Amino acid sequence: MFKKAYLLKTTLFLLFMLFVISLLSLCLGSRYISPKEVFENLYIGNSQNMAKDIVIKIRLPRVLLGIVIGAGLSVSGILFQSLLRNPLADPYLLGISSGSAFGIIVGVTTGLVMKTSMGLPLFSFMGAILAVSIIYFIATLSGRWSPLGILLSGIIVGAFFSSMILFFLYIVDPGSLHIVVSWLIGDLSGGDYLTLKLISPYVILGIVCAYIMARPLNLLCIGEEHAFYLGVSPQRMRKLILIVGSMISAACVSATGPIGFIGLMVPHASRMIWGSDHRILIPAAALSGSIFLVFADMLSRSIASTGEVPVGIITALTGAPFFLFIFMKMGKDIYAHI
Amino acid sequence: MLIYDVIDVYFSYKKGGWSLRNINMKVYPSEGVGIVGPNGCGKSTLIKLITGYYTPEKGEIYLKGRPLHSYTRREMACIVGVLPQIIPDGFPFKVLDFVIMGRYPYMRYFDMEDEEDIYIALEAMEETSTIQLRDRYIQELSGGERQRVFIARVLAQRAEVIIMDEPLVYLDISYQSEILKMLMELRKKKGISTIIVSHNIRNLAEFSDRLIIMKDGCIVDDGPSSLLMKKSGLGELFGCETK
Repeated sequence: MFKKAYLLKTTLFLLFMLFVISLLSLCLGSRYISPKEVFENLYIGNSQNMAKDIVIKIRLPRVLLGIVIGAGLSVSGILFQSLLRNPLADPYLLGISSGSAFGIIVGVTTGLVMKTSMGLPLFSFMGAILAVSIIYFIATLSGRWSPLGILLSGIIVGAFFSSMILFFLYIVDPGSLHIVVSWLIGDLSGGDYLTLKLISPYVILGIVCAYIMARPLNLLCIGEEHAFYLGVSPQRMRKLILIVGSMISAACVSATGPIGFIGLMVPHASRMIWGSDHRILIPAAALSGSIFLVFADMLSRSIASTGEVPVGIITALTGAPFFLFIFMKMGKDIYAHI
Repeated sequence: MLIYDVIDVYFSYKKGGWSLRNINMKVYPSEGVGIVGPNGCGKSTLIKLITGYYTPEKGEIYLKGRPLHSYTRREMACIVGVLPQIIPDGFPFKVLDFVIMGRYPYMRYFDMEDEEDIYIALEAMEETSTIQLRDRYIQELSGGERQRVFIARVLAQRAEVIIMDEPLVYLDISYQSEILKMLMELRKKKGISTIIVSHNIRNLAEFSDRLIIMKDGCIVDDGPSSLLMKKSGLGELFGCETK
């Protein structure tokens, strides 16, 4: 029973933190709106004023997107670290962000982006899925789903798409260049309900699948043979992890562009605090990722008087000292033996 | 009912030359079988075949009367507990969490371990004298401690047959006999069969009912250990004295 109680306690605590940070994020920005006003606007919703527009149309979708993306990046980071048996893996290691950027540049240069209401996220998602499909195809060709095989296929595909992006940028007009480059910086400023509607089903479904796979993930962490003898087929498991992890990270990257640090560091920090058991780690890291991204986005909106600082800069700036603190406090024992 | 019935099994890693030839072997309930033979004779390959890790090219393996390939991985894990030679090298788990993994085959989807699972895991740790290690990380343990924790995990699996590939290599001599004695008691008390691969023929013979002797991918002798140990020629096979 102790695991269930621990999970419940951890989840409740993190949900409370997420609520507080989200509320704070709805209040703060270039204009301060009091929590009371925020609640009024959210629940009553009949007043037509600027505060309501700011809360409902601008801040709320950003906060919701931050929650979804933060959780998605953390969980897909965990999945890729387990899949590749590599602590340095993150959601972008397998070239998913390059595929995504490639999708965008193709959409922009052919002008197709303008013809669909979904716009950039749709093309970005298709590019990411194309990259993953190629990785899947190469890994299947080699016949054995070894971590190293998947890693190498991912790096090859990433390099290929990066070159394709450079090639396109070289031959197309500077207007497209601006769209792609600003997308590559990665932030939540483009967050709207349409994007949220497009990507959240994939991220939420992915996180639920990841949670169902939590026990097999524990077993894969102790080694392929051990996992096999405890009832898991490692080959099939790896395919599933690749599909689920890629689906989440493709959805995330298409909504906001690549936001660094979260997918790599939140899983590690969570592992140090809550341990390696994925049944606790996945929900804890998902909520921590949400909290962290909503917090970083709030700072990115309020820190500079002249405008916004891209959230990727804030995540690394605030995350690195925090990570160092946790590492000094708790990480030395865990990581001494890897 | 027979636990294992291996009939005319052949296996090769690559074309041209069998790694295992004409393997016939039976394992009865609550029987202790020791598999011995020099390095490279195919002991570990045989273990991987009867655990379903490899598939035989010819012949058939039956587990409790059913062909091995008809079992799902989870069904197998509830019947067969295996201790491989490999040491975990991934993200660190605490010893108790690791032992509880032996209960995973019994859990579904969102299940977490209940009090019974924890009780079984703690009992297995008591039996292997690893209870004091419960909050340490697997990677911190010495070779011998780690091996005892592995055995605890296999015991927590509550399998009907326990298969161990060289479980004694990292153990002190006193622990070697203790572990083998413990397995013998499990056979008597709970009717579990054990299949143990080891180089330590003398120790194994003392605590096994039957010995299977392998050489060059074949079974060269199979019989009660007391009888086999009296036969001449074993020393020659291992390049040492056995009596």
